[in-house]
Amino acid sequence: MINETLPVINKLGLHARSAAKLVTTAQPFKCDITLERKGREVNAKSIMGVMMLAATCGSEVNIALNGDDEVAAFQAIKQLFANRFDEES
Amino acid sequence: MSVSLIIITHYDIGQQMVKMVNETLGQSVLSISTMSVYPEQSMEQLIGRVVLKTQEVDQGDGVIIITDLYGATPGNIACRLMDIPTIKVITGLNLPMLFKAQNYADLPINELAEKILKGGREGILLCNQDICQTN
Repeated sequence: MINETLPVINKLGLHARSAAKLVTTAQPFKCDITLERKGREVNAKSIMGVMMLAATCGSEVNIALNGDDEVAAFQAIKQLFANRFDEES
Repeated sequence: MSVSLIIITHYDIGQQMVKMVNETLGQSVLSISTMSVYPEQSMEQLIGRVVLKTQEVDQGDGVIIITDLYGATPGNIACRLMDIPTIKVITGLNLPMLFKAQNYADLPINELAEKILKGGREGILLCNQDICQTN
């Protein structure tokens, strides 16, 4: 089980396209992945769930991963956040 | 499992919504067709077109028709087909429905229809600081 906090640093936050990228990154992994922000917990493999976090730039989301491939999934998602969802050069 | 979707709306509302969702996701997992309804078109012709369209897009796992407004022509056309066992009709189209549909594209028709309905409802919020928490 991995529990970490990820800062949202891309300008537009977890909007539609970045949420889609996050879901696309999370979906191939078998482990359960949940995101939580201010008490709202959602499935990281559901685009509507991710958008419901309304996580803007400067906010933080808690991520919990549980399953055999949790380490690889966490690395991939952490990288996506750090790379600003490839939205800004 | 490969359910097909037909979006029936006034004007090209459906086309624009499908375009937005597909561009956001970068691909369309589901087969989604759209049909635009204009005021001068006859009801009987429209029904004929929808029947043909459902036959054309059905890959054997059924067709979900989503329309924009219950009681209006797009909704009325779709409801004419609702007794066909391989067709499900949902009204009140919104973008969350389409995202949800793409997210659960591999589900069988009944479960997919439930997911679409749930997604559509959950995407409607009276925004306030408690639920939106943008800071």
